[in-house]
Amino acid sequence: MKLLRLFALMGPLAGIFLIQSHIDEQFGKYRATEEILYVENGKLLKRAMLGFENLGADLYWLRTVQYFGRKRLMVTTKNYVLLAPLLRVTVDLDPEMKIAFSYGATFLAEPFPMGAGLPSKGIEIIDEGIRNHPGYWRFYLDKGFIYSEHLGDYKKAASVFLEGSKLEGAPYWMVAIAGRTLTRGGERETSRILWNGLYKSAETEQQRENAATHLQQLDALDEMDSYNEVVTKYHERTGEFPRRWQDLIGSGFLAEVPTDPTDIPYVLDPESHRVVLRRDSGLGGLPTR
Amino acid sequence: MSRVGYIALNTYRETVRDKVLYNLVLFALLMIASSYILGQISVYQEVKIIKDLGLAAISIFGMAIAIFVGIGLVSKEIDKRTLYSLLPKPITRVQFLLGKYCGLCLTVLVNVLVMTAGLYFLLFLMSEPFEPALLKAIFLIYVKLMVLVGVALLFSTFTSSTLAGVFAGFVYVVGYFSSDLKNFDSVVETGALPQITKVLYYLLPNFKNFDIKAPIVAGDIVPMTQIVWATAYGLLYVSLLLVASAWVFQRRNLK
Repeated sequence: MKLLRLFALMGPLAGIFLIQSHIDEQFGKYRATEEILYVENGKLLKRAMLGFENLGADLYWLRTVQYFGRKRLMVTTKNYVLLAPLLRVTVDLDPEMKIAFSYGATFLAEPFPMGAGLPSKGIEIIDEGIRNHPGYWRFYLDKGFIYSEHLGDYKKAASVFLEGSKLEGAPYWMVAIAGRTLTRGGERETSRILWNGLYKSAETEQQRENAATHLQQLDALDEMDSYNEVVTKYHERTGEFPRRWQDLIGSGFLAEVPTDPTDIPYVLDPESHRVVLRRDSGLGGLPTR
Repeated sequence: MSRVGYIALNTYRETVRDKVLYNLVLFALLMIASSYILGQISVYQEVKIIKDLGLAAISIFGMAIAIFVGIGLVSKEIDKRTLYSLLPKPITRVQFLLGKYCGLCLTVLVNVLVMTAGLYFLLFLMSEPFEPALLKAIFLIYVKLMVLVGVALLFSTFTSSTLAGVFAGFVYVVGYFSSDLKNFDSVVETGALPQITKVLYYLLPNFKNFDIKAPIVAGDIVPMTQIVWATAYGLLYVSLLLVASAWVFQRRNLK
């Protein structure tokens, strides 16, 4: 009798498991993914939360980081349409959540596919952060950074860095960054100093990783320049361009196949005769500015 | 012990025997515990989420206890006719009401303390240092709950439990929108409406006065004077509610 009861319980459970697995496998791809934000007006939502705005902000923040994390993993359907509205609602609900301003500005401004490629939206959200926390130097670093690296407005970037450097707790190197951006904005070394500053002051692991990737990209640019010089020298000596790395290794120009900072071999483009990144490089591209 | 004290103690004993209460506290503790899991998936905001959710749980479940138990404080005694066995005894109606109010406030206090211990225990497990500032927010949540118990008691003196629950819930919602009533003159400039809404603003409880959860969790310093003023407001409002309840209850025909 007991066995019968157990079977009566386990039988349907096993059936449910099998059917659900079948449905997921067969029809899962046809299911619409949740890409809807029911309430986009954070101020309205704040009033409706009846004293539980912080809790609402936490829930929206959870959704933001999960949305962004999930989208970043998608190879073909990367788009971040909900990133800006999700962040907007989060900071409207809890303007004390400094991390949401900083994180939002970083990844809204980052060029696609690393971020949403919307620097103006990044400026908008960081400006709101500055309005709410005028004494917080970190927001000035983020804002100046967007002007310098994503918008190419070095004069504006320098003035923002300078303004932030005057605030309490601002790191000593912020003044140096301001001067460097004003005089040598757009140069690779200036970029490196900026990314280093962002790496050192990152508030989240994702922001730190992002800064580290950009620093690796700059390293890759340096390396590619030096390998391109080797290619030129080979051409000068032999009158021909190398067609593959073995040509350079065989003639003693290189000891081994060079790899990028993520350990993926560089590619010697046979048409342009330039050293380029392999498509599957962990660097995900190189800075265009 | 005074008569009010005896009634309060009996009310406390009666409410703690209620299974619903245990369910509510259990759910509150589960909600606080679940904040640990939510914190883990939130990245970078673990402690904030635990504090937010913990304080919200104390507030939400405290409200549930204050309203659901409070609305039956008097009406249930009338429905079950237990009040009639008390009336011939040398207890005034005011003493009865005060005892009921204090008893439920004690129940709410014990529950708030249990939930507070749950929250601090979770923070301890997260290796977070003891943060006394959270107690400021919890204290004002308790003052808010005292006002809410008073509101529920007032409605309980003249209407059924269901209606009293609806009215108390309504007052709570309005209490969060009362600042709009004050600024109504910016929308309607003429007529008596702005004056009426201004009167309503001062008449209805302003629950925003007790809400310091956000600055406390953000680590901002909330001045002691703000807490003192909010407490004074809460206690005065409670006394107003108790006077109104006594006035209504004394005029109620219980025959």
